[in-house]
Amino acid sequence: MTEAGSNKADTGFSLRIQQLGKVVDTGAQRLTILQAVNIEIKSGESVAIVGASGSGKSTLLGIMAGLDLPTTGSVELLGHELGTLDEDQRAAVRAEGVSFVFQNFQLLPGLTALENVMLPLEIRGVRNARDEARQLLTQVGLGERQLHYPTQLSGGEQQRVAIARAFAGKPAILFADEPTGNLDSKTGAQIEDLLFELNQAGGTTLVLVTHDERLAQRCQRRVHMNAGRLEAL
Amino acid sequence: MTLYRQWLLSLRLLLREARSGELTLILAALLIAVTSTTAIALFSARLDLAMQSRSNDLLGADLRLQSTTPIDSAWTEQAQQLGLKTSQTLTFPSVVLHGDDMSLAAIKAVDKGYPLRGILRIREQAADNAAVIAAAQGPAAGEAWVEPRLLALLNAQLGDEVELGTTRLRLSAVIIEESDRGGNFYNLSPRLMMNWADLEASGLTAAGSRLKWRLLLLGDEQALAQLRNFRDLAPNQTFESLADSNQAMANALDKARRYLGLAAMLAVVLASVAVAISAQRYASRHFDISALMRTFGLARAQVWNIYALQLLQLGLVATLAGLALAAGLQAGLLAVLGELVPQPLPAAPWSAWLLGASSGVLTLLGFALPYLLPLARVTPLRVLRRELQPVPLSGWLITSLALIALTLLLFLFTHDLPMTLGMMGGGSLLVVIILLVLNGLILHLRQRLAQHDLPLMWRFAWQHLSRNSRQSAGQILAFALTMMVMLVIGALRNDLLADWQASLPDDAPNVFAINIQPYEVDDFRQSLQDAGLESQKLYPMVPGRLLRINDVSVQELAVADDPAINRDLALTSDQQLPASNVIEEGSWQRLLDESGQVSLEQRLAGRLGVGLGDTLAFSAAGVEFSAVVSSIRSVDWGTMTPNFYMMFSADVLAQLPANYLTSFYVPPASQAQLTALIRQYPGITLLDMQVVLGQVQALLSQVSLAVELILLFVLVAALLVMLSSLVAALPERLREGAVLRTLGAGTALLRRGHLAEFALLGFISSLLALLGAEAICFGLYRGLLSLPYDGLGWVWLWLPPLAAVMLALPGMWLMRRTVTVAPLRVLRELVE
Repeated sequence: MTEAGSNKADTGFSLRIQQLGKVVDTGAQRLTILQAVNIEIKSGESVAIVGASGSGKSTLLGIMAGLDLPTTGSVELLGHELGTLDEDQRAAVRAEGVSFVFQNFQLLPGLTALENVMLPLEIRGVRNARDEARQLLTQVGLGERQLHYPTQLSGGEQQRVAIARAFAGKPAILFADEPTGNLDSKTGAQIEDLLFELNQAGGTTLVLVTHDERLAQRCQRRVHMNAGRLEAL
Repeated sequence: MTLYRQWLLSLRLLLREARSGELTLILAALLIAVTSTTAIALFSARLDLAMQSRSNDLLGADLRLQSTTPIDSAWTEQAQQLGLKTSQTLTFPSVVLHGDDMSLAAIKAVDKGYPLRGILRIREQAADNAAVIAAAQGPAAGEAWVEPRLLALLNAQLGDEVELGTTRLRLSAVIIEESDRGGNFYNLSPRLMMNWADLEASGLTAAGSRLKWRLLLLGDEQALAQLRNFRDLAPNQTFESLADSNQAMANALDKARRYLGLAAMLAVVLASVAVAISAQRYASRHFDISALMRTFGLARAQVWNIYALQLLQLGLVATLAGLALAAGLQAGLLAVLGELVPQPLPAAPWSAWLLGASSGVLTLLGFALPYLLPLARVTPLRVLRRELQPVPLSGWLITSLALIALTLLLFLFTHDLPMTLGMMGGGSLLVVIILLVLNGLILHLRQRLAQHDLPLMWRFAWQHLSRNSRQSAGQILAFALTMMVMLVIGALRNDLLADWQASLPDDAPNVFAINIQPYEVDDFRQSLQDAGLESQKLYPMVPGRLLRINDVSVQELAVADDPAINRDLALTSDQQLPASNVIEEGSWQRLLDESGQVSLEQRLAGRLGVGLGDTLAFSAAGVEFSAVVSSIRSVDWGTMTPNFYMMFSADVLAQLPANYLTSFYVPPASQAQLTALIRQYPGITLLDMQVVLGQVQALLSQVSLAVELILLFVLVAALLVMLSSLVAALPERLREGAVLRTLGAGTALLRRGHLAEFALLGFISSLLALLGAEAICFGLYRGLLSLPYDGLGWVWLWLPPLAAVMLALPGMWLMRRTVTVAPLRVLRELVE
């Protein structure tokens, strides 16, 4: 695996973004999705990015996590300047301490709950992946359903598995994309509790994208995305 | 992450996915590919070996040196130095006497090395129930073994003594089987086998004509090849082997091998298609997982490694399982076949196993890899934006990879490059054209039917077939093609010879008489009349060779390899054009009016490039002579009357020593007259065509049945293509079934819809197969063989329903979940 540690700088920030812009060439026209975005997120901080559909929230999340590259500006994630890294080096940064929770859970249908949680641990070469995954599943309240396949679990349960998976390997920063978007409000609230509990317990930086105001309120800081620009609230 | 850990991860993922059923389909498709190709490879390799060894049995050796004069002992010494086993035989016709009885017999003297290869089985008591034993050597000196027919002709019993030339031999056994007897027409008198040591005492070897010495050789190919180059052959010597003997047997074998190869090709293509369909489905279901693994921090190359390793392991498992399954499958097949397969069947060579195994690897590389490659290129951003698909490999790249793999596979299967390239070029072009036509027809019908209200169940059925018109066209083609080939082969196997025989008049000649000496002609004609046997005209016959065309030696011409150049032709002369001949060019009359004229058979004239006015030079009985081509005749060779390539003006043959031949009809009740004729004219060779035809029929049956059996595998492969595309479409079918059921459609309606769909598929395929088979058979019968053709008849009635049931049963089984699972569950499972 490519080592990305050479240009790492410990700044006390999990994420620093400066003058970030994203322009997409659709062939017929150039579409500006993000412009002049600046944000700094401290380690352990929880930040909500809110905004209407199509405001560029998800694009920003993808760039922050190194899944995509900006057109202009710089992104520094966990001390790595992503613009200087190639795709595989960015993957190495993710392996080091980045994880995700998605709106549509993204569990592998062919794997049991336990195996889904084990997967990132195995990829990172954690020795006692099975035990750690078991522990995490018990922590999210699914100790009894470890051997169930995703299709045998309810939406809330699937998201719990996804959260257990996201916290497996103790990530430095967790990106959540509408984590309660596919859940009813009661289940959603339970998932929120779980997310923030683990966030606080592990000192994980939490960046979440949502248009759910109530969820956003629980974060330490909220920023608003409007037509590709970031506004503090 | 080290490669070892990547491998561990790939194995774990593979096992987990296999357990959850995710891999079942691709594994099954691979298994099918390996199983069917290996089973066919094993089966054809074993059958091939059996046929080869059987025909080596027929040859009695791996190679034979044949000569009309004694073979120089230097050949034998050289062969033995090269490590070859040798044996010598001498065959000639002669009269055998037993008291007052006598008969013409096909004498064969064998040395102590005989039989080298092949089967010689005898009975030491004449009773039918006496034990049959395999003889390791020929008869001892002073003894003779005979065919039962000769005992009857001579009114002799085992233990009796017979006279042969100037020696006496004691009959000590009855020959039950002599595999290298040969189907040669000149050999049909009953066999008497004697010891080489008795030859000299018989005084018969000085007889001069129609003696054939054979040096039988057995050993490895290299030594045989070396011996062939030992020294130049005299003009009266030839090597006979399976490859270069122009026996019908060798040709039939070669054809059989080609047909088996063709059948194998069809199975390979179909199995590969099944793998491609499954791989495509597997890949599209793994885009999300790929993206997720990238977000977990795996590099592109690592994701690729994981899938490549999975593919490798999948291939390994499928190959091993496929090989085991194939062994069982072909063993079962052989058990079902029983005595129809030559026994004992030799074990399959390791190359057949390797071929089966390589089919798994090549199928994966050519048909699965192109679809799995993009998996490594899935962007991790797909976890946020599901519409981001990896760019698939370009169509031409996928196609060329598949074509390369297929070409390689087909070549491995057939070892025949022209045939492989022909199939790949011409075959794929033909397939593409047929597919386009079928596809167009379906689309056209779809537009036409869209304006009509079909009953609901037929509408469902038709919608499914026409929605994926290209896929349906492919399936229809696969089934139709396989069934068509089976039909044609079945028709030829069952009917061809029977139809030909039926097309002959009831009293068509069934016995040929040859070697009638000029002084016997009148007597023989009279004897036939007295016996109430009506014969054709007696034609003079001189064996002669074509030497030159327009003063250019035929050996220097492009036609030097033509079979008519390298053997004696039967030269004749007659005033009258034979009834089954028609003058196509020139004039028959010139043959009667002028000297030095010849009339040439049309096809031979075409092959030799000879036309009217050309001068042909011949050699016969040590005399050279020439004649000018004055007419060209077409000849109906299927009439069982004497026919000739070359007919000369009377002056040409007058200078040559001729004997005569004719053919006549012997009713089944008059076999005794035939025997009497043999007694009366021991020097005349009488050929019973029923026996010859029986041998041809048996061979034809065996070969065509083997091909049909392999076609059965092809049919299964075609069925599996259908099933794999059904499975690939299963989520869509499940969703559709669930939606329909939430709308109130009953399970019965859905089932009927499925039934109608598969029945329609089977029905259309079988109709196309029948139409194609009728056209091909019509062409073969009327065009090529000039036989009346009655059509496939009853097949039209039973094949369509059978095909419909054959496809409906597995199809309905596969679709059973779409009508039984709770709609809500289906809809929930499919939501991602």
